[in-house]
Amino acid sequence: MKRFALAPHLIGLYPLGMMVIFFLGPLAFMIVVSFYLRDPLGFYKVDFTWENYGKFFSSFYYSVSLRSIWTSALASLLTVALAFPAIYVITDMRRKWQLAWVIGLLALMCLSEVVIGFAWVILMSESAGIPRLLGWLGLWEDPRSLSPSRLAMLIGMVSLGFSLVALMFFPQLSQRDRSIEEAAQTLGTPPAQVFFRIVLPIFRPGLAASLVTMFVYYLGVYVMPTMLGRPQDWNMSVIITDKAVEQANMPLGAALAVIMLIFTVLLIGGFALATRKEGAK
Amino acid sequence: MAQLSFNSIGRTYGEFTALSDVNLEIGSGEFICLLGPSGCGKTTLLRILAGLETTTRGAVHLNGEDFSNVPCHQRNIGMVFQSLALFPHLSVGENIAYGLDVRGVDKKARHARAEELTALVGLPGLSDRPVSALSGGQRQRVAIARALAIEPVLFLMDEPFSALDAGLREHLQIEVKKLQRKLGVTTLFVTHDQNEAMSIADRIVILNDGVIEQAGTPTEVYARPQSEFVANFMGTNNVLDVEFVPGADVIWNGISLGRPSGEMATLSGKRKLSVRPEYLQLAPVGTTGTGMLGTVEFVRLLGAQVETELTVAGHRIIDTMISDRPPAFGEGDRAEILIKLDHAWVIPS
Amino acid sequence: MTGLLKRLFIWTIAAGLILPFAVVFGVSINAESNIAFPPTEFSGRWYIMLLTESDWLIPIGNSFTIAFFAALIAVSIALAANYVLWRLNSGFGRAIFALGIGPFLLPPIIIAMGASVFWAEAGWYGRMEATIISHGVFFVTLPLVVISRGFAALSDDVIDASRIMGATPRQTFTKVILPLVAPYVVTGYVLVAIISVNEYLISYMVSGFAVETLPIRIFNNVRYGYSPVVASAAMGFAFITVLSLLALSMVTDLLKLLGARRD
Repeated sequence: MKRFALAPHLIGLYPLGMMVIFFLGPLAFMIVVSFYLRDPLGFYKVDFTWENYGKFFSSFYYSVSLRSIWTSALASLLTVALAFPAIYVITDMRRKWQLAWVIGLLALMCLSEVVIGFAWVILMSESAGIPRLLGWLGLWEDPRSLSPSRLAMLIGMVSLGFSLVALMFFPQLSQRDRSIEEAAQTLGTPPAQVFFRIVLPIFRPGLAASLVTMFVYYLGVYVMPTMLGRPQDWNMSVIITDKAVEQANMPLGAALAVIMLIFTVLLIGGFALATRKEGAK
Repeated sequence: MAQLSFNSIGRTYGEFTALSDVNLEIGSGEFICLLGPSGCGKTTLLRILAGLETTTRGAVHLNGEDFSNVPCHQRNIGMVFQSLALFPHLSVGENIAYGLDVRGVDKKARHARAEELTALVGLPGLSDRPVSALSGGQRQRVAIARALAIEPVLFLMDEPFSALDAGLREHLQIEVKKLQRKLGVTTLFVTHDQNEAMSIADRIVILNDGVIEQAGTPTEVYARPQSEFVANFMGTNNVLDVEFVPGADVIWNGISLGRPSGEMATLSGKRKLSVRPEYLQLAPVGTTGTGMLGTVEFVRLLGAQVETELTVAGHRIIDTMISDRPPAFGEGDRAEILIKLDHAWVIPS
Repeated sequence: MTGLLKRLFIWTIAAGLILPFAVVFGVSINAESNIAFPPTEFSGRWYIMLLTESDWLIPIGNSFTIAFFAALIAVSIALAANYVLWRLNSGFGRAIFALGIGPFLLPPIIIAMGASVFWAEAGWYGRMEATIISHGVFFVTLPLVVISRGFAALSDDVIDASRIMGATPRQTFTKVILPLVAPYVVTGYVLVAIISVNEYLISYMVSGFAVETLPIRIFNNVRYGYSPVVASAAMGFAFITVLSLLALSMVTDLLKLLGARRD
């Protein structure tokens, strides 16, 4: 029979208060504003209309949504396909090298989208980057900048998320029981097949979770598409910001953001439910 | 099935020497225990045999052929790891049949073989269970079955029972020994527990600091230790620095231990004498005329035995006797100690 | 054979991740005033410009100020939340923890939009304090998780020992828990500070037109035309981030903090 401890509950009011006021508050406000009307002179006119949501069901926003989903899914798949094997190799390295990699990955993870995007802009530029190198080598006659383009945007996105996935899998892969892979070898599995036959199946749940996490993450990138992609490559996040700020239509931006929020919550919720069912089996 | 030889095996990791000049011959069907304290190199040796480690020097030969160049997955070895290393994403039956799956055996044959082995190790009907649903002892059996399913030329076990309760451990030790006798597969079993080694080994190979101290049957290593390390490592022992004088008594710390007979009578000079506690006798003061007099420090009542620890001239002497009667001496008592010299063993230098 | 493939793969990845920065570095030390690589003549003038012109110094100052305070807020929330959860292990504690995880799961645009609307209503739209609070609250997840590892590492025995010896809960906290959790708290702080300095979208949408942070300035430059100073700013970012992490790695066992196995 535990006594009710007052002090921790009082202490708990601080984080609770902060999160409710400054995290849930803004979300609530956004939902409210999505029903307002646009005011060209200010932010918005207080009203109640479904007009903003209605605008979503036009072909423009549909195609942007589909494009967002397609690009995010592709980027997510590429990132996990590269980062998981990479961190698998890294966790078997000597401690010294692991630390170097981890610092590098942490730095990349913390580094601004803006800086990483900028770096790729330069690398893809005709005066300083790969096109220039290929031109200098004689492999490309009239080198042009490789960005903005869908490929450049994808590469930028993958380099952005790579470190996240790698660091997400670091604990599990570092602490894994390596004798399972050794056992597979003694039983006759050639070393090259051990990763595909044993490691991947064991990590299937984690891989699925990271694919979903990165999908949501990539839905939300703003800087990469803007810096490295053409307007026809832009995803929903860019469009939302564009509408809200550049075109001074915050209610519309809010409505689109709410739709995105609902989609994200449904996706994460659905996935969480699916994993719980799998676990209970 | 297999005749195995380790020839001048050496393994270093930078500054650290794990194994140096290990030579060993193992006959087909033998059950060998690699025994020693942590860091002695026993697991390294096993892993070299499995192909999970390479040698810095020397080679392993199987049936006369150099094994060293054969990659791990082609060695046809069955190994049980300390953590068992069962595949968590496969069922019991799939785990056991894994080695066959990799060899391209068809589903029906795999299933049959898995059933055969679950029966052999005493787990009938559990083929479809996930491994997470099994108890510790059951998981052990699955690991053993999995290793044996491929009909390996060698069966290796790396301290498989160290995490189990004493009762379960003893039970499994006996089962593994019986199984091995039935199948006749050459087996190497790594352990740090000498009781375990004594129970099940045909021969015990004792390692210390990367070298083999002695390889022999349990009786040999116990009664006739070839080094002071072995004498002290196997069971409880009294190792005394004595001096032999031909034609006279054996002297220890100025005390006479008696007149040696037989081979011992021919020795002269300083030697180490191994006297097992069961070959000492305690008597009340003034009854035997021996010069060895000690004070009882501690008495251990171990159920079947009584172990008495005494101090003699600053040295610790241990005596054991069967507890068919209550111990005659308690803490603080003085007692005389008789040594049965013909049961003592001179450790070769 | 597999060893060779593994090495090739990992070196390709390393190249892909480092190459862009190698090029940016080359651009930043080029004497020419247009973006070109490789550098024809070496010059440090872009770095000097970065550190002397107020055009750049003001955004740098803004970014650091915001980061300093935002990290304090984030870490204080994370520490309090972890303590409450650890101490109570009840629905109350779990609810707070779940709220802390929330910001990480949502796309930043949603959060940024919400924040800008919120602050517009609250009247602080365009003020640095707004960005500080928003950063502090939205970046709670990382220190929350890092510090939770610290609390997970606390063995019950240590706490019980302290209690048996007569310490009050407050003393146990300051003398036993805090010192043990400190490395995780410091790590959390450094990570949030780094993330805050690097963040673009929220700071843009909440106060971007009035408070120019370094990422905002770089982004605007890329959009509207720039000189190699931007490259030196980008490299400055990279250097500071790596240096902070190197310093962190010397004070703490970074690998263990991120979940590596003990050997």
